[in-house]
Amino acid sequence: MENLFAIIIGAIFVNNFILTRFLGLCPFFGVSKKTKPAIGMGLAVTFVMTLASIVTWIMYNWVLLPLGIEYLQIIVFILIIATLVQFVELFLKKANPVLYKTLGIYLPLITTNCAILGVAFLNVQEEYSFVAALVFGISAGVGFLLALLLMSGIRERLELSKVPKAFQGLPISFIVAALMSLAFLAFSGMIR
Amino acid sequence: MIIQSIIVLGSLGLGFGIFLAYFSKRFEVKKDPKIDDVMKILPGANCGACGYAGCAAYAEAVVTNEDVPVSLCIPGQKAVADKIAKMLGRDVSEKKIQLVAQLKCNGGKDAADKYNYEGIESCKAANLISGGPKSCSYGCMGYGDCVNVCKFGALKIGEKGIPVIDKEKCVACGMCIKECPKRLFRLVPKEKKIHVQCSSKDVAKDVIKACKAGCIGCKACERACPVPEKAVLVKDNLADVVYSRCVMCGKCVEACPRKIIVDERK
Repeated sequence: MENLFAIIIGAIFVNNFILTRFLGLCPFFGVSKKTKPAIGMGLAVTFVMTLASIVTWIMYNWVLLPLGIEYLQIIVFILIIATLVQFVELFLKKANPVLYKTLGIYLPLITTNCAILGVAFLNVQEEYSFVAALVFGISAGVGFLLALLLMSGIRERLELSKVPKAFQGLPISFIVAALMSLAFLAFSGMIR
Repeated sequence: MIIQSIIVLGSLGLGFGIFLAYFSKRFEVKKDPKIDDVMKILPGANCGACGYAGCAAYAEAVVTNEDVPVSLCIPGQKAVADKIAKMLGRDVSEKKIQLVAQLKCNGGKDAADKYNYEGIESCKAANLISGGPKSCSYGCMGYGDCVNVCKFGALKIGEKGIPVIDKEKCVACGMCIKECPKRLFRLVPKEKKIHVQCSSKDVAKDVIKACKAGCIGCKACERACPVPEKAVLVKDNLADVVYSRCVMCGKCVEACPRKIIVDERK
Protein backbone atom coordinates (compact mmCIF):
# COMPACT_ATOMS: atom_id res chain seq x y z
CA MET A 1 0.00 0.00 0.00
CA GLU A 2 2.79 2.34 1.00
CA ASN A 3 4.54 1.40 -2.19
CA LEU A 4 1.49 2.33 -4.27
CA PHE A 5 1.29 5.68 -2.54
CA ALA A 6 4.92 6.30 -3.40
CA ILE A 7 4.18 5.44 -7.03
CA ILE A 8 1.27 7.89 -7.13
CA ILE A 9 3.18 10.80 -5.60
CA GLY A 10 6.21 9.87 -7.68
CA ALA A 11 4.36 9.90 -11.00
CA ILE A 12 2.34 13.04 -10.33
CA PHE A 13 4.89 15.28 -8.67
CA VAL A 14 8.42 13.97 -8.25
CA ASN A 15 8.84 12.46 -11.69
CA ASN A 16 6.12 14.38 -13.49
CA PHE A 17 6.09 13.10 -17.05
CA ILE A 18 6.20 16.50 -18.65
CA LEU A 19 8.08 18.69 -16.24
CA THR A 20 10.70 16.26 -14.93
CA ARG A 21 10.97 13.49 -17.51
CA PHE A 22 10.33 15.84 -20.47
CA LEU A 23 8.05 13.37 -22.21
CA GLY A 24 4.99 14.36 -24.22
CA LEU A 25 6.07 17.93 -24.82
CA CYS A 26 4.21 18.23 -28.12
CA PRO A 27 0.67 18.24 -26.69
CA PHE A 28 2.01 20.19 -23.70
CA PHE A 29 2.67 23.17 -25.96
CA GLY A 30 0.07 22.38 -28.58
CA VAL A 31 -3.07 22.04 -26.47
CA SER A 32 -2.29 24.36 -23.56
CA LYS A 33 -3.66 27.61 -24.95
CA LYS A 34 -7.08 27.29 -23.32
CA THR A 35 -8.07 25.45 -20.16
CA LYS A 36 -11.00 23.54 -21.65
CA PRO A 37 -9.22 21.65 -24.43
CA ALA A 38 -6.31 21.15 -22.02
CA ILE A 39 -8.56 19.29 -19.61
CA GLY A 40 -10.03 17.26 -22.47
CA MET A 41 -6.60 16.37 -23.77
CA GLY A 42 -5.35 15.54 -20.27
CA LEU A 43 -8.29 13.25 -19.66
CA ALA A 44 -7.86 11.57 -23.05
CA VAL A 45 -4.17 10.99 -22.34
CA THR A 46 -4.94 9.68 -18.84
CA PHE A 47 -7.50 7.30 -20.28
CA VAL A 48 -5.16 6.02 -22.97
CA MET A 49 -2.24 5.77 -20.53
CA THR A 50 -4.28 3.69 -18.11
CA LEU A 51 -5.53 1.37 -20.82
CA ALA A 52 -2.08 1.19 -22.39
CA SER A 53 -0.36 0.25 -19.16
CA ILE A 54 -2.91 -2.49 -18.51
CA VAL A 55 -2.73 -3.98 -21.98
CA THR A 56 1.02 -3.63 -22.40
CA TRP A 57 1.61 -5.19 -18.97
CA ILE A 58 -0.53 -8.18 -19.87
CA MET A 59 1.12 -8.43 -23.27
CA TYR A 60 4.63 -8.19 -21.91
CA ASN A 61 4.28 -10.52 -18.93
CA TRP A 62 1.96 -13.09 -20.43
CA VAL A 63 3.06 -13.21 -24.03
CA LEU A 64 6.45 -11.66 -24.70
CA LEU A 65 8.25 -12.91 -21.55
CA PRO A 66 7.12 -16.56 -21.69
CA LEU A 67 7.99 -16.76 -25.38
CA GLY A 68 11.34 -15.06 -24.81
CA ILE A 69 10.73 -12.36 -27.41
CA GLU A 70 11.08 -9.24 -25.22
CA TYR A 71 13.06 -7.58 -28.01
CA LEU A 72 9.74 -7.09 -29.81
CA GLN A 73 8.45 -4.85 -27.04
CA ILE A 74 8.83 -1.56 -28.94
CA ILE A 75 6.83 -2.63 -31.97
CA VAL A 76 4.23 -4.47 -29.90
CA PHE A 77 3.73 -1.51 -27.56
CA ILE A 78 3.39 0.88 -30.48
CA LEU A 79 0.85 -1.44 -32.07
CA ILE A 80 -1.16 -1.60 -28.86
CA ILE A 81 -1.07 2.16 -28.29
CA ALA A 82 -2.01 2.94 -31.88
CA THR A 83 -4.98 0.60 -31.67
CA LEU A 84 -6.09 2.10 -28.37
CA VAL A 85 -5.92 5.63 -29.71
CA GLN A 86 -7.89 4.63 -32.77
CA PHE A 87 -10.47 3.12 -30.47
CA VAL A 88 -10.63 6.24 -28.29
CA GLU A 89 -11.03 8.34 -31.43
CA LEU A 90 -13.91 6.20 -32.66
CA PHE A 91 -15.50 6.30 -29.26
CA LEU A 92 -15.17 10.08 -28.84
CA LYS A 93 -16.56 10.73 -32.30
CA LYS A 94 -19.73 8.97 -31.23
CA ALA A 95 -19.92 9.95 -27.57
CA ASN A 96 -18.64 13.52 -27.52
CA PRO A 97 -18.29 15.21 -30.94
CA VAL A 98 -17.47 18.59 -29.38
CA LEU A 99 -14.47 17.20 -27.49
CA TYR A 100 -13.53 15.28 -30.63
CA LYS A 101 -13.42 18.53 -32.59
CA THR A 102 -11.47 20.37 -29.89
CA LEU A 103 -8.80 17.70 -29.69
CA GLY A 104 -8.59 17.65 -33.49
CA ILE A 105 -5.09 16.86 -34.65
CA TYR A 106 -3.83 16.05 -31.17
CA LEU A 107 -5.81 12.86 -30.79
CA PRO A 108 -3.85 11.04 -33.51
CA LEU A 109 -0.78 12.63 -31.95
CA ILE A 110 -1.39 10.63 -28.76
CA THR A 111 -0.46 7.64 -30.92
CA THR A 112 3.07 8.89 -31.29
CA ASN A 113 3.14 10.45 -27.85
CA CYS A 114 6.31 9.39 -26.11
CA ALA A 115 4.70 9.84 -22.69
CA ILE A 116 2.42 6.86 -23.30
CA LEU A 117 5.17 4.69 -24.73
CA GLY A 118 7.22 5.92 -21.76
CA VAL A 119 4.67 4.58 -19.29
CA ALA A 120 4.73 1.20 -20.97
CA PHE A 121 8.52 1.05 -20.90
CA LEU A 122 8.83 2.28 -17.34
CA ASN A 123 6.38 -0.40 -16.22
CA VAL A 124 8.73 -2.97 -17.73
CA GLN A 125 11.88 -1.31 -16.44
CA GLU A 126 10.65 -0.98 -12.86
CA GLU A 127 9.20 -4.50 -12.95
CA TYR A 128 5.91 -3.32 -11.52
CA SER A 129 3.19 -5.76 -10.55
CA PHE A 130 -0.11 -5.53 -12.40
CA VAL A 131 -1.74 -3.29 -9.79
CA ALA A 132 1.35 -1.11 -9.54
CA ALA A 133 1.44 -0.74 -13.34
CA LEU A 134 -2.23 0.23 -13.36
CA VAL A 135 -1.74 2.80 -10.60
CA PHE A 136 1.38 4.12 -12.30
CA GLY A 137 -0.52 4.53 -15.58
CA ILE A 138 -3.36 6.46 -13.93
CA SER A 139 -1.12 8.71 -11.86
CA ALA A 140 1.20 9.41 -14.79
CA GLY A 141 -1.89 10.56 -16.67
CA VAL A 142 -3.01 12.68 -13.74
CA GLY A 143 0.47 14.22 -13.60
CA PHE A 144 0.19 14.98 -17.31
CA LEU A 145 -3.24 16.52 -16.77
CA LEU A 146 -1.94 18.60 -13.87
CA ALA A 147 0.98 19.98 -15.88
CA LEU A 148 -1.29 20.72 -18.84
CA LEU A 149 -3.86 22.42 -16.62
CA LEU A 150 -1.28 24.59 -14.86
CA MET A 151 0.29 25.55 -18.16
CA SER A 152 -3.03 26.44 -19.81
CA GLY A 153 -4.03 28.56 -16.81
CA ILE A 154 -0.78 30.49 -17.00
CA ARG A 155 -1.03 30.88 -20.77
CA GLU A 156 -4.57 32.25 -20.51
CA ARG A 157 -3.20 34.93 -18.21
CA LEU A 158 -0.19 35.47 -20.47
CA GLU A 159 -2.46 36.34 -23.39
CA LEU A 160 -3.78 39.28 -21.45
CA SER A 161 -0.48 40.66 -20.25
CA LYS A 162 2.10 42.76 -22.01
CA VAL A 163 4.81 40.49 -23.34
CA PRO A 164 7.78 41.95 -25.24
CA LYS A 165 7.27 41.34 -28.95
CA ALA A 166 10.23 39.01 -29.31
CA PHE A 167 8.81 36.71 -26.62
CA GLN A 168 5.18 36.63 -27.71
CA GLY A 169 3.57 33.27 -28.33
CA LEU A 170 5.70 30.15 -28.01
CA PRO A 171 8.96 31.69 -26.72
CA ILE A 172 7.35 32.94 -23.52
CA SER A 173 5.64 29.55 -23.14
CA PHE A 174 9.02 27.83 -23.30
CA ILE A 175 10.32 30.13 -20.59
CA VAL A 176 7.24 29.45 -18.47
CA ALA A 177 7.67 25.71 -19.00
CA ALA A 178 11.30 25.94 -17.91
CA LEU A 179 10.33 27.83 -14.76
CA MET A 180 7.59 25.32 -13.99
CA SER A 181 10.07 22.52 -14.49
CA LEU A 182 12.45 24.20 -12.03
CA ALA A 183 9.60 24.53 -9.57
CA PHE A 184 8.77 20.84 -9.90
CA LEU A 185 12.41 19.97 -9.24
CA ALA A 186 11.68 21.06 -5.69
CA PHE A 187 9.74 17.80 -5.27
CA SER A 188 12.80 15.69 -6.05
CA GLY A 189 14.08 13.75 -3.10
CA MET A 190 10.63 13.59 -1.52
CA ILE A 191 10.50 9.90 -2.34
CA ARG A 192 13.58 7.70 -2.29
CA MET B 1 12.40 -18.07 -32.73
CA ILE B 2 11.67 -16.04 -35.82
CA ILE B 3 8.50 -17.99 -36.44
CA GLN B 4 7.31 -17.27 -32.92
CA SER B 5 7.76 -13.53 -33.35
CA ILE B 6 6.06 -13.60 -36.75
CA ILE B 7 3.10 -15.48 -35.31
CA VAL B 8 2.80 -13.19 -32.28
CA LEU B 9 3.02 -9.96 -34.27
CA GLY B 10 0.83 -11.25 -37.06
CA SER B 11 -1.91 -12.45 -34.78
CA LEU B 12 -1.74 -9.25 -32.74
CA GLY B 13 -2.13 -7.17 -35.86
CA LEU B 14 -5.00 -9.31 -37.11
CA GLY B 15 -6.71 -9.25 -33.69
CA PHE B 16 -6.47 -5.48 -33.36
CA GLY B 17 -7.60 -5.05 -36.94
CA ILE B 18 -10.75 -7.06 -36.36
CA PHE B 19 -11.33 -5.27 -33.04
CA LEU B 20 -11.12 -1.83 -34.68
CA ALA B 21 -13.21 -2.87 -37.66
CA TYR B 22 -15.94 -4.12 -35.36
CA PHE B 23 -16.02 -0.96 -33.25
CA SER B 24 -15.87 1.36 -36.24
CA LYS B 25 -19.15 -0.25 -37.36
CA ARG B 26 -20.54 -0.22 -33.85
CA PHE B 27 -19.76 3.44 -33.18
CA GLU B 28 -20.57 4.63 -36.66
CA VAL B 29 -21.97 8.14 -36.63
CA LYS B 30 -24.85 8.35 -39.05
CA LYS B 31 -25.02 11.87 -40.36
CA ASP B 32 -27.57 13.48 -42.60
CA PRO B 33 -25.66 14.85 -45.63
CA LYS B 34 -27.96 17.87 -45.47
CA ILE B 35 -26.23 18.94 -42.24
CA ASP B 36 -22.97 19.40 -44.11
CA ASP B 37 -24.77 21.32 -46.85
CA VAL B 38 -26.32 23.67 -44.29
CA MET B 39 -22.93 24.05 -42.64
CA LYS B 40 -21.56 25.34 -45.94
CA ILE B 41 -24.26 28.00 -46.12
CA LEU B 42 -23.75 29.23 -42.56
CA PRO B 43 -21.08 31.89 -41.96
CA GLY B 44 -19.02 29.56 -39.77
CA ALA B 45 -18.14 32.18 -37.16
CA ASN B 46 -19.57 30.03 -34.33
CA CYS B 47 -20.83 33.21 -32.65
CA GLY B 48 -23.72 31.51 -30.93
CA ALA B 49 -26.24 34.24 -31.71
CA CYS B 50 -28.70 31.57 -32.88
CA GLY B 51 -28.74 30.12 -29.38
CA TYR B 52 -26.84 26.95 -30.26
CA ALA B 53 -23.27 26.01 -29.37
CA GLY B 54 -22.01 26.91 -32.83
CA CYS B 55 -22.76 26.69 -36.52
CA ALA B 56 -22.46 22.88 -36.52
CA ALA B 57 -24.93 22.55 -33.67
CA TYR B 58 -27.42 24.86 -35.35
CA ALA B 59 -27.05 23.09 -38.69
CA GLU B 60 -27.83 19.79 -37.03
CA ALA B 61 -30.79 21.23 -35.14
CA VAL B 62 -32.31 22.92 -38.15
CA VAL B 63 -32.02 19.81 -40.31
CA THR B 64 -33.20 17.27 -37.77
CA ASN B 65 -35.92 19.29 -36.05
CA GLU B 66 -38.75 20.75 -38.12
CA ASP B 67 -39.66 23.22 -35.37
CA VAL B 68 -36.30 25.01 -35.43
CA PRO B 69 -36.78 28.10 -37.61
CA VAL B 70 -34.42 28.62 -40.53
CA SER B 71 -34.00 32.31 -39.75
CA LEU B 72 -32.07 32.00 -36.48
CA CYS B 73 -28.69 32.87 -37.96
CA ILE B 74 -28.39 36.55 -37.15
CA PRO B 75 -25.02 37.22 -38.86
CA GLY B 76 -26.23 35.50 -42.03
CA GLN B 77 -29.39 37.59 -42.07
CA LYS B 78 -32.02 37.01 -44.74
CA ALA B 79 -29.70 35.69 -47.42
CA VAL B 80 -28.68 32.68 -45.34
CA ALA B 81 -32.21 32.06 -44.09
CA ASP B 82 -33.47 32.02 -47.68
CA LYS B 83 -30.80 29.57 -48.77
CA ILE B 84 -31.43 27.21 -45.88
CA ALA B 85 -35.18 27.41 -46.45
CA LYS B 86 -34.71 26.60 -50.12
CA MET B 87 -32.48 23.64 -49.39
CA LEU B 88 -34.77 22.17 -46.77
CA GLY B 89 -37.93 23.10 -48.63
CA ARG B 90 -39.34 25.25 -45.84
CA ASP B 91 -40.72 28.75 -45.57
CA VAL B 92 -38.75 31.62 -44.15
CA SER B 93 -40.73 32.64 -41.13
CA GLU B 94 -41.35 36.26 -40.15
CA LYS B 95 -38.96 38.88 -41.38
CA LYS B 96 -36.71 40.18 -38.67
CA ILE B 97 -35.92 43.78 -37.95
CA GLN B 98 -32.26 44.43 -38.61
CA LEU B 99 -30.47 45.09 -35.40
CA VAL B 100 -27.12 46.63 -34.69
CA ALA B 101 -24.97 46.96 -31.58
CA GLN B 102 -24.87 50.28 -29.78
CA LEU B 103 -22.61 51.40 -26.94
CA LYS B 104 -24.33 53.17 -24.09
CA CYS B 105 -21.32 55.25 -23.10
CA ASN B 106 -19.65 58.25 -24.61
CA GLY B 107 -17.17 58.91 -21.83
CA GLY B 108 -13.74 57.64 -22.76
CA LYS B 109 -11.33 60.52 -22.36
CA ASP B 110 -14.15 62.75 -21.07
CA ALA B 111 -14.47 60.56 -18.00
CA ALA B 112 -11.95 61.26 -15.24
CA ASP B 113 -9.70 58.54 -13.86
CA LYS B 114 -9.85 57.69 -10.19
CA TYR B 115 -6.61 55.74 -10.18
CA ASN B 116 -3.83 54.70 -12.51
CA TYR B 117 -4.37 51.16 -13.71
CA GLU B 118 -1.32 49.24 -14.88
CA GLY B 119 -2.55 45.68 -14.75
CA ILE B 120 -3.66 43.17 -17.35
CA GLU B 121 -5.05 44.91 -20.44
CA SER B 122 -8.55 43.59 -20.05
CA CYS B 123 -11.82 45.17 -19.04
CA LYS B 124 -12.77 42.12 -17.00
CA ALA B 125 -9.52 42.27 -15.02
CA ALA B 126 -9.69 46.05 -14.52
CA ASN B 127 -13.32 45.80 -13.45
CA LEU B 128 -12.32 43.61 -10.53
CA ILE B 129 -10.41 46.45 -8.91
CA SER B 130 -13.17 48.60 -7.45
CA GLY B 131 -15.06 48.73 -10.74
CA GLY B 132 -12.20 49.86 -12.95
CA PRO B 133 -10.06 52.97 -13.15
CA LYS B 134 -12.77 55.36 -14.37
CA SER B 135 -14.48 57.67 -11.88
CA CYS B 136 -17.79 56.66 -13.41
CA SER B 137 -18.49 53.11 -12.31
CA TYR B 138 -20.96 52.61 -15.16
CA GLY B 139 -18.75 53.70 -18.03
CA CYS B 140 -16.51 52.08 -20.60
CA MET B 141 -12.89 51.45 -19.58
CA GLY B 142 -11.71 50.98 -23.15
CA TYR B 143 -9.41 47.97 -22.81
CA GLY B 144 -11.20 46.40 -25.73
CA ASP B 145 -12.51 43.06 -24.53
CA CYS B 146 -15.38 43.64 -26.94
CA VAL B 147 -12.97 44.30 -29.82
CA ASN B 148 -11.20 41.01 -29.16
CA VAL B 149 -14.41 39.04 -29.05
CA CYS B 150 -15.94 40.54 -32.21
CA LYS B 151 -15.57 37.99 -34.99
CA PHE B 152 -16.65 40.40 -37.70
CA GLY B 153 -14.19 43.24 -37.20
CA ALA B 154 -17.03 45.65 -36.47
CA LEU B 155 -15.46 47.12 -33.35
CA LYS B 156 -12.31 49.08 -32.75
CA ILE B 157 -11.15 51.38 -30.00
CA GLY B 158 -11.58 54.91 -31.36
CA GLU B 159 -9.72 58.13 -30.68
CA LYS B 160 -11.82 58.74 -27.63
CA GLY B 161 -10.67 55.55 -25.96
CA ILE B 162 -14.00 53.79 -26.31
CA PRO B 163 -15.09 51.27 -28.93
CA VAL B 164 -16.49 52.55 -32.21
CA ILE B 165 -19.03 50.38 -33.97
CA ASP B 166 -18.91 49.89 -37.72
CA LYS B 167 -22.65 49.57 -38.32
CA GLU B 168 -22.14 48.05 -41.75
CA LYS B 169 -19.98 45.24 -40.43
CA CYS B 170 -22.01 44.62 -37.27
CA VAL B 171 -24.27 41.60 -37.61
CA ALA B 172 -25.86 41.82 -34.16
CA CYS B 173 -24.51 38.49 -32.96
CA GLY B 174 -24.45 39.82 -29.40
CA MET B 175 -20.98 38.61 -28.47
CA CYS B 176 -19.92 42.06 -27.25
CA ILE B 177 -23.02 42.26 -25.05
CA LYS B 178 -21.99 39.11 -23.26
CA GLU B 179 -18.33 40.10 -23.07
CA CYS B 180 -18.62 43.63 -21.66
CA PRO B 181 -18.33 43.51 -17.86
CA LYS B 182 -20.27 46.80 -17.63
CA ARG B 183 -23.03 45.54 -19.95
CA LEU B 184 -22.73 48.69 -22.06
CA PHE B 185 -23.80 47.19 -25.37
CA ARG B 186 -27.30 46.55 -26.56
CA LEU B 187 -28.96 45.78 -29.84
CA VAL B 188 -31.04 48.54 -31.38
CA PRO B 189 -33.00 48.70 -34.66
CA LYS B 190 -30.62 49.67 -37.43
CA GLU B 191 -32.90 52.37 -38.87
CA LYS B 192 -33.17 54.24 -35.55
CA LYS B 193 -30.43 56.83 -35.42
CA ILE B 194 -30.91 58.66 -32.12
CA HIS B 195 -29.29 57.16 -29.06
CA VAL B 196 -28.62 58.10 -25.46
CA GLN B 197 -24.94 57.36 -24.98
CA CYS B 198 -24.71 57.11 -21.23
CA SER B 199 -25.42 54.46 -18.64
CA SER B 200 -24.76 56.37 -15.45
CA LYS B 201 -27.48 56.14 -12.83
CA ASP B 202 -25.58 58.41 -10.46
CA VAL B 203 -27.16 61.67 -9.29
CA ALA B 204 -26.30 64.84 -11.21
CA LYS B 205 -23.70 66.07 -8.73
CA ASP B 206 -21.63 62.90 -8.95
CA VAL B 207 -22.02 62.64 -12.72
CA ILE B 208 -20.70 66.16 -13.28
CA LYS B 209 -17.67 65.36 -11.16
CA ALA B 210 -16.95 62.07 -12.91
CA CYS B 211 -17.61 62.67 -16.59
CA LYS B 212 -18.14 65.48 -19.06
CA ALA B 213 -20.36 63.27 -21.19
CA GLY B 214 -22.71 61.96 -18.51
CA CYS B 215 -26.48 62.13 -18.24
CA ILE B 216 -27.62 64.23 -15.28
CA GLY B 217 -31.28 63.35 -15.64
CA CYS B 218 -32.44 66.95 -16.17
CA LYS B 219 -35.43 65.87 -18.29
CA ALA B 220 -34.80 68.56 -20.91
CA CYS B 221 -35.08 65.82 -23.53
CA GLU B 222 -38.41 64.66 -22.14
CA ARG B 223 -39.85 68.16 -22.34
CA ALA B 224 -38.52 68.67 -25.88
CA CYS B 225 -39.98 65.42 -27.22
CA PRO B 226 -43.02 66.09 -29.42
CA VAL B 227 -44.34 62.51 -29.25
CA PRO B 228 -47.40 62.47 -26.90
CA GLU B 229 -46.29 59.49 -24.79
CA LYS B 230 -42.67 60.70 -24.93
CA ALA B 231 -40.11 58.72 -26.92
CA VAL B 232 -37.34 59.62 -24.50
CA LEU B 233 -37.81 59.05 -20.80
CA VAL B 234 -35.72 59.70 -17.70
CA LYS B 235 -35.63 56.87 -15.23
CA ASP B 236 -33.17 56.46 -12.33
CA ASN B 237 -31.36 59.70 -13.29
CA LEU B 238 -30.81 58.39 -16.78
CA ALA B 239 -32.50 59.24 -20.06
CA ASP B 240 -33.25 56.55 -22.58
CA VAL B 241 -34.85 56.42 -26.00
CA VAL B 242 -37.98 54.32 -26.42
CA TYR B 243 -37.17 53.04 -29.89
CA SER B 244 -40.69 51.88 -30.72
CA ARG B 245 -42.01 55.44 -30.37
CA CYS B 246 -39.07 57.51 -31.60
CA VAL B 247 -39.76 59.46 -34.79
CA MET B 248 -36.19 60.74 -35.05
CA CYS B 249 -37.13 64.42 -35.08
CA GLY B 250 -33.89 65.34 -33.32
CA LYS B 251 -35.50 67.74 -30.80
CA CYS B 252 -34.03 65.94 -27.78
CA VAL B 253 -30.57 66.01 -29.34
CA GLU B 254 -30.79 69.82 -29.51
CA ALA B 255 -32.29 70.12 -26.04
CA CYS B 256 -29.67 68.03 -24.21
CA PRO B 257 -27.36 70.37 -22.27
CA ARG B 258 -24.74 67.63 -21.86
CA LYS B 259 -24.77 66.52 -25.51
CA ILE B 260 -25.13 62.88 -24.62
CA ILE B 261 -28.04 62.24 -26.96
CA VAL B 262 -26.44 61.62 -30.32
CA ASP B 263 -27.92 61.81 -33.78
CA GLU B 264 -25.95 59.51 -36.07
CA ARG B 265 -27.16 61.28 -39.18
CA LYS B 266 -25.13 64.33 -38.33
